[in-house]
Amino acid sequence: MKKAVWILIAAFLTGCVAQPVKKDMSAFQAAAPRSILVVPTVNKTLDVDAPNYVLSTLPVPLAEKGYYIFPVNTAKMVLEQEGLYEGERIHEQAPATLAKLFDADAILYVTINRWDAQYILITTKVTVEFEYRMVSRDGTEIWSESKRMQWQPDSNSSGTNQNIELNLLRY
Amino acid sequence: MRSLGKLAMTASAAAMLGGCAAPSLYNWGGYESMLYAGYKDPAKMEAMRLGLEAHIADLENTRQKAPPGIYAELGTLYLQSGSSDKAVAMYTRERNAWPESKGLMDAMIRNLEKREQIKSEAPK
Repeated sequence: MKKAVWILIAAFLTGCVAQPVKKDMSAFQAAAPRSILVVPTVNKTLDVDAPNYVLSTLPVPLAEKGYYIFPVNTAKMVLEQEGLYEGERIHEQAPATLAKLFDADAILYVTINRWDAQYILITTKVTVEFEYRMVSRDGTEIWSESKRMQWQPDSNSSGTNQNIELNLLRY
Repeated sequence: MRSLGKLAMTASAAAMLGGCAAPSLYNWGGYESMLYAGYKDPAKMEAMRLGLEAHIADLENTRQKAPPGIYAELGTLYLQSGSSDKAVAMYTRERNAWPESKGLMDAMIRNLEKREQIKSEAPK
C-alpha cells in the first residue's frame, strides 16, 4: 500500500503528473541551485512512519532530475551532531546557517500535513498532504508547493499494479 | 528486492503511459527501500551497509556512475559501526565524484582525522 505512495511522490517530483497551474518559477530559475539539502521533515500527522518514508523516498526522484542531493542519512547524522534531532527544530534554524554548514545551494523543507489510510471494508484509501518549501542559500524562498495526493489500491495485493497505473494517470 | 523491481517497473510504465518517459540517470540498487527499512528497524542498517557495498562493487564492475550520495551514505554507516578509516575513504570518494559535496566532505574528513589523531596521542 505504502509503495504506491512512493510512486505518487516519485511521479510528482519527476514531473510526470500533469500540473494545470503554471507556477512562477523565476525565483527558482534565478537561484539555479545545483545542490539541494533535504532536511528531516516536520510531521503533523500521527503516522510515526511517514517521516521515514518521505526522507528515504525524496532523494531518488530529485537526483534523477540532475541535482546533487546531499545524502539524507549522512545529513541527518551531521545535524544530530549539531544537536538537531527534531524536524521542528531543524526547520526553525536560519536556512543560511544550515546551507553554510553543508555548503548547499538550496534547502528543501517538507511538512507532512496529512497521512491517512482509510480502511473501508475491502478497499483502502490513502490520502497524503505535503507542503514543500525550497530556500536558497541566502535565505530566500525560491519555491513552495502544497500537494494533496490520493490513492485507492485494490485490496488484492497480487493484482494491484495495474490499478496503481490507472490511478496515477488521473493526476 | 523483487517487489522493488516491480515498483520500478510500475513507475516507469506509468510514466510512459503518462506521456513523459523519464530515463533514469542512475542505478540506485534499492537505496530507498534499504534506508527506509533501516529507519524502521535500526538492526537493518547493517543489511544496508552490505547492500551498498555490493551495489558499489557492481557499479564498478559494470562501469556505471554511482548515484549522488551513495559513497557518503556507506561512509556514514561505516562510521556508525566504528570504522573511521573506511568512512574517510568513502567520504573521499564522494568528494572526488561530486564537486558539489566538497565543502561538506572536506569538513567531515578533517574532523574525523582530527578525532583519530587525538585518540592516537592520548596516553594509553
